[in-house]
Amino acid sequence: MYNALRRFGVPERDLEDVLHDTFVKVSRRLSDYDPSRPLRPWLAAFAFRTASDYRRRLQNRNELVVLDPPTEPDEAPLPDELLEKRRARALVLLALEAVKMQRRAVFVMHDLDGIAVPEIAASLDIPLNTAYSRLRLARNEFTAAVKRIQLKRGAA
Amino acid sequence: MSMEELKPLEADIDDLLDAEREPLPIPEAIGNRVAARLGATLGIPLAVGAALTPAATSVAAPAAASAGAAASSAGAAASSAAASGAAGAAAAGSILGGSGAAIVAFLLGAGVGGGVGVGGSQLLAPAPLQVASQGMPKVVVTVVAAAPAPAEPERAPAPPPVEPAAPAVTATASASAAAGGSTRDVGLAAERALLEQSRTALARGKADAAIRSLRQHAARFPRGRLSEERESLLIQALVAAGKRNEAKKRADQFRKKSPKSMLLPGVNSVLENPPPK
Repeated sequence: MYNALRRFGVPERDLEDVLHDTFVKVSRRLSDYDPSRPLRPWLAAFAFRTASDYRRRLQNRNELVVLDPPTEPDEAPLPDELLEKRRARALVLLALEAVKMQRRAVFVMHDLDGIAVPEIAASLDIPLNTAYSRLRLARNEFTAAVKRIQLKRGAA
Repeated sequence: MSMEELKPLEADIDDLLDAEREPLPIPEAIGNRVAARLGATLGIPLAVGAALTPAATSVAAPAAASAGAAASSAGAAASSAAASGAAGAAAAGSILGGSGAAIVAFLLGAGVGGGVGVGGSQLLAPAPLQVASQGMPKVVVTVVAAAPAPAEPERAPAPPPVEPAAPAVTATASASAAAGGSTRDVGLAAERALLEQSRTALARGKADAAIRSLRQHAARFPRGRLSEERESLLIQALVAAGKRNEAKKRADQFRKKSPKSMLLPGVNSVLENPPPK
């Protein structure tokens, strides 16, 4: 859940609050959960909705989303390796910012969390074809964003 | 658009995503705070001293207040079929082993991106959990001496005094939600730090120290954005310090001032079921 919120663009400093809110929402809706459905997509949809609400509020305040990738915990591997991994994570989050929220939801759930598209469609309550087309668009946007960022970094 | 038309990801993009596929463990301090706040919000007395299991980190971490005990109870919480007291947890409870503790642990730690399964290395288990919901089955719980104010399950459920004991979570956005994303983060961080201090003190059984930092918060941030949380903590601390009368008075004020507060069920519950001495 924590990771889902990060990927949906909730900056580190507000993760605690948004995490809390998400759980409150989940706990209120637990009785709606259909145990015959898989749990992860159901939870991911909560994370997505809470994160979207959060971002809307943020935009209303005209505030800039400052990406602040979280630090790795202890048990550090070699510093170089760590650094590289951190950079890769930061790049993923940064590029995700270029993907519109609705598409981002499908992309994160599918390509990062490995949830099957039909399950995603069901949990977000969208038609299957819509889910596929969002995924396709999101992949394009994400790929383009990664290349753009890498190019800029290479030039700098 | 259908599955057939979906091209696979480019290899380098897929590699890049790989770095992020491995979920980051939730930082211990954040996990602890969320568990504590959640306990208060939902009226499930969750202990503050939650810890990361098992190999994940250091007992030395400052936030692991009740470190040793928490580490052992983390496992217990996950594996035991503790009372499922979380509001309407029946559905999820059945799939998660019927454990209220496990549900919260699951949500915090594993949840999305962490793979299903309580017991992953980044599972965060709320340490001692005692659920005092009326009519709910009461089972297991690992008690930690330093637990801040777990309700007593053995006690016969007394009728709630004013507010219903069931988690009356009605407000659409919590105070903290409104707080999240604001620009005045320095003030908020300072507020949070003070509350965190008192929460830790409370978890360690140092109710007086907790009360001191809460009063400090009240002096510095009389209209702070976390004042509801402060009041709720203060009431818990007063009960823990044996100052029931003052706690009651405060609770009455709290009810009047914030009748819809999501923290109210927690406040009620600590007054109805004071922690065992």
